Order: sequence, then structure tokens, then C-alpha cells
Amino acid sequence: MIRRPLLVSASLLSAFALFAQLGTPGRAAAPAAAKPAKLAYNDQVLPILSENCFACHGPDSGSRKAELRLDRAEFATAKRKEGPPAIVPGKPDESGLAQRIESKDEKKMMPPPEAHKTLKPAEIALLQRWIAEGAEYQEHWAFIAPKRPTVPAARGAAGPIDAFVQAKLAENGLALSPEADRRSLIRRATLDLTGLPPTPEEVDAFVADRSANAYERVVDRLLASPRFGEHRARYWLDYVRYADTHGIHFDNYRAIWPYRDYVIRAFNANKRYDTFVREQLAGDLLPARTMDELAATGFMRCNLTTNEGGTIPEETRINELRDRVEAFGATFLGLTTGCAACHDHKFDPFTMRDFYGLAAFLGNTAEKPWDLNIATPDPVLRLPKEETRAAAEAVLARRAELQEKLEARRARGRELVAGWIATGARPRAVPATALELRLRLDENKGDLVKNSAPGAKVTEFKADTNPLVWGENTWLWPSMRMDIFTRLALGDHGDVDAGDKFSAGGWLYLRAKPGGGARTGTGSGSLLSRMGEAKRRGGAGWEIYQEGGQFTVNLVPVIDAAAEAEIEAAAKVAPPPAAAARKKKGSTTTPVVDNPRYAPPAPAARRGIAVTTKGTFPRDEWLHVFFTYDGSRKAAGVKLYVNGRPVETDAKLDTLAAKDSLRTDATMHLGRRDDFQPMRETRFQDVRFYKRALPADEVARLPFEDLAAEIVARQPDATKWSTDENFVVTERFFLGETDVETRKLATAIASHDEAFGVLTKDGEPTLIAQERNAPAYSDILKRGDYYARVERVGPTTPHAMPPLPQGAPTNRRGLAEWLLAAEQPLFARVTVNRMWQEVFGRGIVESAGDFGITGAKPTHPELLDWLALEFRASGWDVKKFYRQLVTSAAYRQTAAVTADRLAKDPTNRWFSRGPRFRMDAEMLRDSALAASGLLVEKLGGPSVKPYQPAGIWEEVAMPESNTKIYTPDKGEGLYRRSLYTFWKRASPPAAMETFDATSRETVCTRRARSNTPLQAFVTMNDPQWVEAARKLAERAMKAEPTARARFDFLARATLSRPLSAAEVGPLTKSAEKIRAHFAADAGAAGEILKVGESPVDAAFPPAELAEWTIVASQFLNLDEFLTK
Amino acid sequence: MRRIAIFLFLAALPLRAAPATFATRVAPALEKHCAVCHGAEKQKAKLRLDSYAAIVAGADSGPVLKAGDPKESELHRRITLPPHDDDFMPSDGKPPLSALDVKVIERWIAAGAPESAEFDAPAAPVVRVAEPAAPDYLPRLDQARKLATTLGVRLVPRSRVTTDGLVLRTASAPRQCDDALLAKLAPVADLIVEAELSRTRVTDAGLRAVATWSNLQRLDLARTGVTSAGVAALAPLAKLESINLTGTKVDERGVSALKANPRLTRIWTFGTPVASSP
Amino acid sequence: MLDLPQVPAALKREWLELETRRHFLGRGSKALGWAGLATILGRSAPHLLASTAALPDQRPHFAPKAKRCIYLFMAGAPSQFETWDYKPKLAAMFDKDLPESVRGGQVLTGMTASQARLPVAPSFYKFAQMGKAGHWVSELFPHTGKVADDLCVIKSLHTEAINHEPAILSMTTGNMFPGKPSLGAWLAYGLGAINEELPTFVVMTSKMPVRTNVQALSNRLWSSGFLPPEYAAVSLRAGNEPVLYLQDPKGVNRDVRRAMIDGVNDLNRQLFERVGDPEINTRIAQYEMAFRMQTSVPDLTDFSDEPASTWELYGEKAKEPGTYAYNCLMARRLAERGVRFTQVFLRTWDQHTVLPERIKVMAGESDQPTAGLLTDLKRRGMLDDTLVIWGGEFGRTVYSQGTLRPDNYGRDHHPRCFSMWMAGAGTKPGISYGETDDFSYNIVKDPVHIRDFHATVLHQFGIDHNRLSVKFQGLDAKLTGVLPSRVIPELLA
Repeated sequence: MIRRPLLVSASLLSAFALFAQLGTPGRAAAPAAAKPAKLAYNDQVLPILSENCFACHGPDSGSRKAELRLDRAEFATAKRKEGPPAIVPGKPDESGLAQRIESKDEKKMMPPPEAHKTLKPAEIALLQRWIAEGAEYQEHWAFIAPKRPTVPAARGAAGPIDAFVQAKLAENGLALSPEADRRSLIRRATLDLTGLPPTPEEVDAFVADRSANAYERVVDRLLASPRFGEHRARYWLDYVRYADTHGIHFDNYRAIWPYRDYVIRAFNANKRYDTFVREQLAGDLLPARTMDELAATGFMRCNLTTNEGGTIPEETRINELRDRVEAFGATFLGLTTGCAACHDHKFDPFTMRDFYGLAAFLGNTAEKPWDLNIATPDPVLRLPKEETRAAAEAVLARRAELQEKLEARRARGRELVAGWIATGARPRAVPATALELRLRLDENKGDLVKNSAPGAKVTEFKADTNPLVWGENTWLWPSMRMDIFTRLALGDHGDVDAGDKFSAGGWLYLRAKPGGGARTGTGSGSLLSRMGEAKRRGGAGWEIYQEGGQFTVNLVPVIDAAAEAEIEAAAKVAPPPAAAARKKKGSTTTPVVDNPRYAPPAPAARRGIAVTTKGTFPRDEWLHVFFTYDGSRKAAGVKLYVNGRPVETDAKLDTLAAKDSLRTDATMHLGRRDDFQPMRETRFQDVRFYKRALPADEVARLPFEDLAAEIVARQPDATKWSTDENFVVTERFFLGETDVETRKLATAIASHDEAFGVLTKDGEPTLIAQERNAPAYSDILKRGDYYARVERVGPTTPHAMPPLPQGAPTNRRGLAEWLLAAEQPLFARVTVNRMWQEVFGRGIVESAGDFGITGAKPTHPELLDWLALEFRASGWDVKKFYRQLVTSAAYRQTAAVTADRLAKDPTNRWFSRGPRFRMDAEMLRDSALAASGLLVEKLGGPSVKPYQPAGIWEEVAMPESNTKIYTPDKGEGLYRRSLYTFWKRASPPAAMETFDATSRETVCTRRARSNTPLQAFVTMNDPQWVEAARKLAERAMKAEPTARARFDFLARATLSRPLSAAEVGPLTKSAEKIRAHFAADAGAAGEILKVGESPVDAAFPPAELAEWTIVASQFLNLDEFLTK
Repeated sequence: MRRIAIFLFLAALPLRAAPATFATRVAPALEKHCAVCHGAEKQKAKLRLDSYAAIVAGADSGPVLKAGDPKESELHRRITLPPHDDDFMPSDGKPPLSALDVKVIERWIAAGAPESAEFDAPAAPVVRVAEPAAPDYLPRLDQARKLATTLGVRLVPRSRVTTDGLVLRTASAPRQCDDALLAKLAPVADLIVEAELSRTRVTDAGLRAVATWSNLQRLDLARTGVTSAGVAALAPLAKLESINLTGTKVDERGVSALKANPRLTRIWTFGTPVASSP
Repeated sequence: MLDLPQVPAALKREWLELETRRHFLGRGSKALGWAGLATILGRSAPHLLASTAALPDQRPHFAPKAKRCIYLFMAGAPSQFETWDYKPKLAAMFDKDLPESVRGGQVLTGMTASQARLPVAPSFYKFAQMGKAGHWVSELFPHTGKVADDLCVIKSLHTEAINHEPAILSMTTGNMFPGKPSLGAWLAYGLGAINEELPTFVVMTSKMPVRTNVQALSNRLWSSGFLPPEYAAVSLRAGNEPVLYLQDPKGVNRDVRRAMIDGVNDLNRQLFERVGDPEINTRIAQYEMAFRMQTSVPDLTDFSDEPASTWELYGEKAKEPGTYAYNCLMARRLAERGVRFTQVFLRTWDQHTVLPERIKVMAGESDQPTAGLLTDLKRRGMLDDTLVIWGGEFGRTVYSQGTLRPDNYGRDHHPRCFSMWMAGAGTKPGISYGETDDFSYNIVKDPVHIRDFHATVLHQFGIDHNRLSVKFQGLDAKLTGVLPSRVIPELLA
């Protein structure tokens, strides 16, 4: 196999230089003849490697072939088992890669035929030349923190921005275009800063104002207007995927519009951008001093949710988490993080561990994934009415101080415990006397569970029928859940009689999941029992039973024939209360008995003891449920405790006779009775059975103190406790139950919360985020499957970026500090790039949501870094930043383009002319309403429903959805700014979707800007636009008598300029045809004037008004009106 | 001469058993898929499969071939495992043997794995390259495009295979297409293999031009003003296979004239005076 | 056509090369006008230049068999037992428990997980062999039975999704999560329009004969995903406004609209002379096309030109806008005028309970119009190059959901096997492909993943599913995704 001589002919190289220059922005068009500059990995080599090699030899270990990785120097040059290293720097002849890419042998050549990728000769030559030049790798530009670039000197440039832009223009043989005329300039600036066109008066005033920095004064006026906040908020709602409905299946209404108000207020108040982000990410963890900081966390609740019947809550939780990490990645890091949910990212240094590390930060919030699609799934903030607002704010501020102190103590938790232990204090264990059975259920795998009671007769039990499900969440340790038909028999433990003293219980977690209809969850059943069904000794035995969130201890005696007769006699007098109670409850849905979806309920015990908790307890929460019985055969002898505290009970049955016995040959069971009545899919931890009646103080120590004692005995050094151990000993035992200072704070906070609740009782609800008081963690999932848990990871930041700043807490607050740290390479760049894109129509990095290896390269890298550092240095001053952009010469250029400029810069990527692009959907509608005088300017408030053709929602919505019927508002609601329009995910506002508005189901950092006939239909025939045209016509006719003057009026109102002479001809010609039609057909005029709710101005003859409505509609359809 | 489409995928159905030998059918398959790791340069598991002797010699873990019994031959077992099985050969993602190759190897082993004697195996599919539908359109595509644009119709390549011909498409503005227009298409007429002329203003006069389109295979004249007289003029179109005359005035005489061309099997006459469409 | 100022061709080629090589087609790309996005080799009108989107080479990879597709989507998932997967042996297994070996420990959906028993429920409806090909056709489909010889029935489809929303998304976009282009969008992008005066991809939702267990349909099922937005479907709505806002307000006739547009475009041309932005030319072209569409779309809904035989074929209900029958007739009229991909949704087949009674109503609604459409296409010579597909998003369980009685039972969701059929455009007529076990629970022969089904549909359009891709977030994204999938040769004539 002959190796082509390395020295490739000069022509090929120069041809390649042209080719390379074409494809890589930012490189000067090096004249072909000069010696080509050294190859830069990021500019020329990386695009070829990522396109052709990284799919199998990139960062993703999952799909890597032949254990070869080419994306980093250390791997590419590593020695290999067989054959030469892929790259030997400086020696292409000895580099396996160089040989392989040249080979024609099908079995050797790279990329292999089945990869459907072929390297062009020029690319092969380039790779060989790069290796010859030493194969130097470069870090990807976006992962290197920005350094302050030197501002290039530029002729007469106004500021640094223009200096950088002019430098790049010069490189490409271009120069700044002349400044736009004053009318275009004020129209452009007003639209960019407020989203609305300037009034003719404002235009004329500016044109007349020849004083210095007249333009700057206009900009300052616009920045100060409340419209600025509304316009900026419109973009932000795309970046955070705000919507007024949940999304999947019912797609019901979701109360979250106060979060939109927060965003508008923040931009208007010019809140520092770092505070703005910190409050949205971790407002509750600051801790929240004002209601704004709480409402800001609405950001965390913007993800899609579902209530589909067949969903599995654990799977839904993972899907919602993936959506959050993907949105966080695109909006704050400009990275396609979502790829790494199933495999290491194939191009960027972002692994599955990084993905699930971020998921641990963002997923430790209190709301339940199965939110029933109701409007206000907890946690919810209710914004109080005016009269109690001040008081509520005061309470919240006070609470924040207390929380601050509490957090300080929690931060020093281990240290405090160590100090406490040093004084000789110890958590007191619960004496293990008569502890017959203790199932820790911490095995975390397999079907065998151990009985760790000291001296236990039987030390191991095996689950059968369905396997146990491990590690779905964590409490004392990773959880165990019984599956649907799991049976865990516990041998002949718990063999006690009515006269014996015994106690039992433990941690449990009742699962909430779709069961159809009102009955969410897994029905009712026995949690721990030694009891058989009626056939077996009359259902004798003892159990603790759950139904409707209430816990019941049943002691059922053996029933023989004689006892039967006795009961019958007694029954005639008064039916046992328990049985009666059950019949009433079950009657609402189809009679429970014959609905096989649930096993029939237990026959009411007719004699014995039944003690039920008065209160009901929530599902989807860990509860420690325990009972003691003193053998007194009296209901009063049974005590029930939840979370270690006694609870009030009802004695539903207290008829245990002296001679009655409970003994049964049924075996003891966890999660069911021996024969039936399982409490399905429940999670259990540390379940115990004592053959004695524990006193209240011992029961109080069962939830945490007993385990804490065990941990401290094993490991007195607090610094060595694992996260789970620390949670038990420090968080829950020491701080939660022992440390006086913390308990005082906790009770004070609780009372403040209660007061706050009262003050905001019937306020306006909005969804907020609340951190769970449990360790944050997440599981790496094989191929992203929700149940394929591979490894548990705590909150960790991506490995290729700087670590968490010193002292930052490992929660969302810490994540916010990490994001805002100076050495964070991406955050500031991604933000300024998007702000630039809003104003210039195109980012310096065109793929605003992907700064990764396959994303676009920055056209002006130095300018991007300068803007990022300037924005940070300015104290994250948003208004100052936009001011800098719109006052730059680059922005003020005329948008007119010459053939030469079009040839050299067809897509305006070098900003060789002023920005000119079709306005977004919201700006278009708002501008039409403003021009017509219909716009109602009211800041904030609930979402509104303007005009929309009938049936659009009804066609797609489910009958059960509460957003099925669309009834447009009357009056004001029809004419509010478009960012207040009700946003239904399954069917976004029809007219706006035609102009590329998104459904807000996934994050969108950049909307498309299509140009289709459907859009022409909207601006010509949508009632909103026809009515706007009529009202605009009325304004013109009221203001001006003659046609020429009216044309001028319309031009000023829509185009911010008078009509030019040349434009009068075509308008007059079309107006004559239109007038002729309406003159001939009077009825037609009447018809068109009926469109829209606003009244018709009777001062004008219908035919004339109809004619001028069409003329006004012409102005609202001009490209010049639709384009900024 | 019948035009046979290119067989794009191996027809797995055995046509008829043709005699095969180790050299002609087994060795090439092993060379293609196995020699990379079991050949001259590399001998994974000390196994070579690039010669009869080496196959018989087997690997370090023992023989890979039991003459007469494919089930017991490790060679056969490895290539018939499910693709994601760890033992599956060829290993780590290299393209698997085709179903036909596996069948051939199985028949070869069953026949006692002869070195040179013939054995019974499904015939290798004959890949017959189709005779081009029309001359290469690429060199004349710009010319065709300009012509179509000025006339207000479209000439769209049927596929990226540049000898597949062009499709004359009028759906965007059927009323724009009339007899005169068809005549003007003469310079590119030989490239046209399909003509969608439904709802256009084409009449018998226009069909005289169409009759010169030598490579035309499919012609749609639905809802046009053509009659039997005009249609008869299409007889010289030797390659015409399908003609749609629904909703025209064509009657029995026109249809029988067309039936003279054996290739023209699909004639649609719904909504015409013709008694009943085929 | 408009004669607008030309731009040097050399510049176009070099600039396209620049853009195409960087595969820049993300959502943000400015895109060209109506779905008629011809290739740079196509229409020479310079407004092509305005687009910065890399223009796809809209030629099929090899000679296509299909030009158009009509996809009849039976949302809710019709049970395969009562429709196409005939299981005579089940009659003897009435109310027996489903053997554990068959279920193989599959996780059950929430709705049947807590059932005490999983009793086998055989089909309440009988089957008979119809046509020369001998398909076993359910008594629910007397009309479709008559055209059975044209059908290519697939009984071994399978998918991963067990819920409607992700399953319908997988069936329409190849992915369980929103944000991906649908099959129709891929074809509009890959092949462009046949008739550029009409939408290339149209979707219609039908009135619901059964209103229980209704599935949510939403724009994400026919969205353009990360392809430019004009490849998304236009939904043709029942009632007097088939395309949103298309109709001029009352009182505005053709002359007024013509005059209005002339005025607008005259001013726009003056603007182009002053500003030179090519996008202005694109907008001028869009307003001209909008004017033409305002006549071409309404004549679609004017059925006066239909022969009397049409109503015998599709049934009288075809005269009532919004019904499934009306939509089938409209589908033929759209295909006749060159609409590339028409998708008709019929809800709801989600019979968790009272299945025998409700599936009869659904089959009744679907049978005659579906058969009428096939017959109509065939007699008009359109079936040769029009691919017709009938099917849902997954199968249903052999065991009854809820109480089993001989004449009343329900079936839960079942992604492991389901049936569909195709017809026309080079599919092999009269065959049945793939087999399920006696309980139609697992596939025993020739499994067809929905990815393979998508690959085969694209193949009939002359498209190699591996090469119709767009670079999105660094991945060459395809309809058939990243997992291996193949064209099924046995389904093709």
C-alpha cells in the first residue's frame, strides 16, 4: 500500500485554505499564495473529526468502538494493544489515523463504509498536515473562561462594540453602512425596547430635535417605560417555556400567571440579572424575604406534567426531571444537556454523571410528579389581597430571619453534634427487650430480607410472586417497595394472645398513583398482620390496617358456633358501627364489592377491638406508624403513634370478651393478611414487633433516636457519617428533636408559617418551588430508563467546568452561585448572546441554545467575550446593556443593502448593515392594536382570551379537560398586549402559532422566522386585524378630510414616516377599485364593518369607512409594517 | 426490451438451488466478514478462516467445524446467535453476514463441508442492472429548468439516479398548460418519463407532440379534452406502461388502439364512454 | 412567473455550499416561502436567494413507487382481536386465566394492575375469508372485506409506548417525546410539493361517534419539530373555514382583494428598490400565492362536481362536513390535486370497557368510507402511486379489563403486538405478514417495529431512511431515530 508523499501540492493546500476559510467564520481570507498559517484545532480540524469520527471515537463511552477515543490528546496519542497509536504528533507516517483515512481496503479504511461518511481528499490532507504540525489539540472555545480582549483601534468608532464590528468588517472587505434616517432609527429603537411602534408625535419630535444625544434621550425614555419590562418578559417566557396549562392528556389550567408578573416587574425595576436568576432558581432557599422571591421560583414549576391514566409516577418524575435539566442547560449554559440522559454526550464533554448530577440539584423539590392536573398542585403561594399584603410581607421577612438562623445552625450541624457528643451526651437507644422481629429492609437488592432482632429465631425471609423494588427513593436508606402481588411471609412470629402485651409498626410510604377516577392510589389493606380470612378461625388475629388515609388496629377474637349465636342476638339490637361506616363511604362510585379492580374489603369484624386514628394522613410521604397494646382486652389499652407522637383515636369496637383468644395458625405478614387484603405497592423501612407494650417515651425515640444511637455507637466521629446517616443523626434526631436552639427556631418558623397562611388564605395562587428536607440525590439511569438505576449521585456540577464555589451549599442556591461565578465560562456569554440576538435578529453565536462543539462558532469571538465581561462588570445591569447595544453605530446603520454588500455578506452575519427582520408574533399584533388605538395598556394580571376562530380547542381537547371550550373575553381582554394571551400547550394561540410562536412544551432559545401565505391570511382576515384596520381608518378619517392627507396619516401611524410621492399612485389606483365596489354594493360595506366588538363610528358613511378600512388594512400588510 | 428495475435489496427468496462450491460461495463470505480478525494479519482466538485448511484446523478452543452437522459446528452457531449476544460473530458492531450467506454455510456444512465438490445451496441473486429509463438528465437539467420556468410548468427529476428521467408536473397551474406548450418541450422531450397533465387544456393536437416523447412511461390525461382520435396517435410510444383517461371523451376505439402496445397494461377509463374500466 | 432581478449563479452555488456544509437547519433558520421550497436547482426565481436555510435536494434517492400518502389514523388503538388478527383457538379459552408463561412478568398498566384475575376474552365477532387472497376479515368490515385483495395486512407491529400520548407521538413522529418532525413533515421537507398552490401536508380530525375514553390530539402530532415551520401540517377544519383565516371577511370580494394586494405589492416593490432585502420579494410571492389559494382551497369543499356513484361508495354521511366519510372523500380530492400527505384522525377506539358495543359503532363509522376511498382511488388510476395506511398506535390485551361476560368485556393497552394494513403504491396486495401467538400477546414470526414500518413507508417514496436526515444538536436526526431499523422487502410487490 503506497503512502502518498506527504508534501501535498501547493495548489491543493491553497484551494483547501479557501475552502476552509469559507466554512469557518472569523478567519481572514488569507491570500492563496502566502504560506498557510498553522492549522487551529478548533477552527479546521474539530469540525472534520466531530462530523466523521466522534460518533464511534468520541466522548460517549457507550457507543465507542475499538476502545479508541480521538477527542482529547491524551487518548488519541495513547499506546494501543495492537498496531500504532492513532496519532503520533509530528509523524503522520507512524500514526494509525493517517494510514486508515487513506486506505482504500474496505476492512481497514476509516470512516468505515457502513458509517455512510466519506472524507474528501482535502480533509484527508488537512488531517495529515495537522498531525505533521504536531497534532496540537485546543480546548473548545466555549469552555475557556472569557478573558478581557484588547479593543482594536478603529477609525472614529463610537465605542468598543463598533470597534470590534468594524475590525471584522474590514477583514471581510466591508465597512459600516451609513446611519439610518432618523425616522427609521426611532421606529427601530422603540420597537426593540418596548415592542410597540412610536407615535407620530414622538417621531416628529425626534426628527425636529437636532440637539446632541437627542437619540440617547429617546432611548432613556424608552428604557424607563413600563412597556420595556413587558417586551423583555415576552422573550423570557420562551426561554423558560411558560404556559397556562399542564400539557399532557387533560392539559388543564395551571395557576402560575403571577410568575409572569414577577418577570415583568423584575425587568422594569432593572433588577440585577444575577439576582433575577438567583431568585428564580433558588428563591425559597435564599431564604425568601419577600413574596417576589417566592413567586420567582415559578420558573422551577414550568415543566410539562401529565395525568394520563396508565402513567407510572416514578417514570413521570424522571421525564419531568429530564425536561428541567434540558431547559436549564439551554437557557443558562447554552448546552444540549438533554443528550446525556441516555448516553455520554457524543461531542461535548458532558457525561451521564454530569446530567444526573444536575438532576440531583434540580429534582429535590417538594411537588409531587402525579399532580392530578389540578390548577394549584402544592407547593403554592397565595398572593394576599391589598389589605393584608403589608402584614404578610412583614411576617415573611421576619420568618426569613429565623430561617437564616436555622440554616446557619443546619450548616454547622455536624460540628454541633460532635460538640454535643463530646459532652458525653448520646442518643438513647430503645431497649431491645422482647424485640422479636426487626426488618431494617436496607438490603437494596434481591428477595431476601434479614431479621436483625438480637437472638431472632428466624433471621431471613424470602419475598415471592413479585420481586421487591429497591432504591426508588431514600429515607433512612434507599427504599424497598412491595410490588402488586408481592408476598412477604414472616414465619410464626407475632404469635400473641388477647392477654399479651405487644407493640408493632415502622416507617411506611403509601404510594399515590393513577387508579382512575377519584380513587388515586393503591386502595386499602393490611400493613402488618398475623391474621387470616373469615374461614380461618373467624379471621382471628391482630393487624394494623389502612383505609382512606386512616390507620386502624384490629384485634379479632376466634369465633366459634356459640360465640356466633351470641353476636347474632347482639347484632339485631345495633349493627356494629364499623360495618355501617364502610357501607356509606363506598357507595359513591360503582359499588366496591363487585368492582374486581380492587379485592373486596375485609368483612367487618363483629367482635373484638378496633381502634382508628381520628385524622387522615397523606400519601407519598414517609410516616412512622406504631401501636402498643397492654393486654387489657380493652380498646383503651391500644395506643396509636404517628412519627413518634400519640394521635387521637376512635374506639370503633370494644367488645373483646375475657375468654376470647386471638391466636391463629395464619402466619405473620408484611403488607397484607395471610390470605388476602394486601396494602399494595407500599414502601416499608425498619419494621419492628415487640412482645411488650412500649411506653410513650420509648415510642417517641423509635423514628430517629434509636437508629441515631446505633450510628453514633458505631461511629462517634460526626465527620465520617454518610449523607444518609447524617440525615438521621444530625438533621432529624439532633436538630429535629434535641437541639433546643433549633427547636425554638423551628417552632417560631412554624407559627410564622401559620400566620402567613391565614393572611394569604384566599389570595391569588401561583405555583412555587420548595426544597425537600431530605438529602438531594439522583440515579444514573442505563439508557435513560426510569427503573434501570445504575448508580446514585449527589448534586455535582459538570466535570468539564469549574467546581462549586467554596462554601456554596449543595442545593439550588449553591448551583445559582456556581452559575454566577466569574470563572464560569458559559453563563455570561450565553446571556449576552441572546440579548444581542433579540435586538440584532441574529446572535454572535447563531445557535443560541448550543455553544457546544457542533454548535455555531462565534462570528466575533472577542466582541462576545468583551460583552460578557462588561455585563458582569456593570453589576449585571440589563438596561445599561441594552442601552449600549442600541446606541452603537452598528445598530444605527441603515438596513438598506447594496448588491456588493449582499454578495459579500448575504445573511448579515458580519452586521454590515442595520438589523431588518419580520417581527415576532406578539410584536405584530401589539403594533397593529397600537396603531389602531385599540391597545389597552394594563400591566400584569391573569391571562386573557382575545379573538380566536371557534372550535380550535374543542377539536383537540379531551372532554374531561377544563380548557376544552375557548370563550373569548369581552371588552378589555380582547385588546391587551399579546404576552398576556392565555397559552394552552396542546393548542397554542392559532394566529400567533402561524407566526412561529412555540407551544412552550420544550425550551426555545430562538424562534423560527418563516414567511408563508398562511401569515398573509392572518394579517388580511383575522378579525383582530380587520377590526384594527377599521379603527385605524376611523382615526385617519377623523383627522384628515382629503385622501392624500389620510394616506399620509396612515403612513405616519404605521411606518413612522410620511408617504413618498411615488407611493401615492398605486394606493390611489387600488382605492378607486375598492371604492367602486363598495359604491356598487352597499350591503358589502355593512358586512365588513360588523367585524370586531368595538362600535362603528357612525359619523362616516359605511361605504367610505369600508373603503378606508381596506386601505388601512393595506398599510397593516406592508412588508415595511411587518418588518422591524 | 423489458425494463427491469434495479434489485436494491437481496431478494431473500431462493429462486432455485444452483450448484455451489466452497470457493465460489463460502470463502468469499468468510473473507468479507471474518478475515479482518481471523486472517493473515490478526488471528483472534488463534483462528484463521481465510483458507479451507485453516477452517478445518479450528481455534485454540478446539475445532469450529463438524462436517455434516451445522448445529454442532461452532462456526455456524456463532453466526446464528441473536446480534446482541456476547458470542455473536462478527463481533462489536461489524456488519453481520446476510441471511443468504448463513444459509449457504449451513448447506455447505450439512453437505459434509467439501473442499471442492459442489453442494446444493440457494442461488446467489442475479443483480441485473436496469436498462436506463432515459438519457442522463444532469448535463441538460439547467436547460430543462429554464425552459419549464418560462413556460410555467415544472420538470422535476424522478430521482437522484440521473438516468431515471424527468417528470412533467403541472399541478400547480394546470390551466397554464396547453398544446402549444407541449410542442415547445421538444428539446428535452426524450428526458420525460412521466407526464402529469390532468386537468390541463391539452387536446388531441397536443398528443401529436407527446407521441414523440420516446421514453414516456406514464401519462395522466384525466379530465382533459382528448378523444380516441388523439389517443390513437400515441401508439409509437413503445415504453408507455400506464395511461389515465378518466373523465375524458375517449371511447372503445381509442382504448383498443392503445391495446396494440403490449407494454401498456394499465389503462384507466372511469367516467368515460368506455363500457367498463379494466 | 415573476421576473425579479437575478443574482449571479456562481454566488448562489458558493453561498449554498457554505450554508449546506454547515448543515445549518436549526429552528431559527429563516426559511423560504410556502412548502414549495424547490431545490436551488429548481425554480430560478431569485427569491430563493433570500433563504439562508440549506435547501434540501428534494429528489428521491431512487425511483419512487408512491407520490402521495393518505394515512387513516385510528386514534385510541383498535383491538386487533375484533379487527384483523383472527384467533379461532381463543373461543375455547373463554374466561380462562392468561397463562403466566405468556405474560412473562410484563409490568401491567395502572388500570389493570390491581385486577384480581386476567381472564381471556375471545373476540365477540366472527370472521370469514373474503376475496381471492383469502384474508380472514371480521364481520365488522363488510365493505373493506370486498376490497381485501388490495390489502397488505401486517399483524406483527410492536412499539415501546404503553400510553396514548407517547404512543401516538411515536407512531406519528418516531419518538415518544414532543418536539420531533412528523412523517408528513419529513416527506414535505424531503420531497417538496406536487401542487405548490395547496398545502403539502394536510391533517383532518373527524367527528367522534364514540365519546368515552377520548384521546387528546394536539399540534405536536403533526408538527414540523426542528424542521422549518412551514413543513408542519395545515389542519383542514370542518365547517365553513377549512383553512384558518383563509376566507376574506364578508363584503370583500375577489376584486377588492386583488386591488388590495396590488396596492400592497406595488409599495413593497418600491421598498425593495430602496432597501434591497430579498425577503421582501419572498413576501410579495407569498401574497400572490395566498390570493390564488383563496380560490384553489374552497373549490375543494365544493362537492357539486362529484358523480352520484361517489355517495354510493363513501355513504351519505360523506356530505356532512367533519365526519370521517366526508374526510375520506376530501382526502381523495386533495390527493387528486397533488397534496403530498393527508392524515385523517378518527377517534376513539380506546375501549377499556363495553368493547363489543363500542367497537361496532367505530367499525361502522370507518368501514364503508375506507373501502369507498380504496375503490375510488383504484378506479381513478390513483392507487398505483397513492399509499393508503389504516391503523392505530398499539394493540389491546387478550385478557378482559373489568368484569368479563360473554357479550361484554374491555381490553387494556398492549404495545407488544398490533395490526395495521397498507394498500397501493407498490405494496404487495392480498398478503398477511407477521404472526402472533394464540393469545395475540407476543409476536412469534417476522416482528415489525414501528421504525421498520416508517423505513418501509419512506422506501415507497424513493427515500433511503438513513439518508433523509437533518443535523440537529449535533446529531444527524432521522425519522427512524438512532436505533437500527430496516425496510421490510416482503411487504413490497
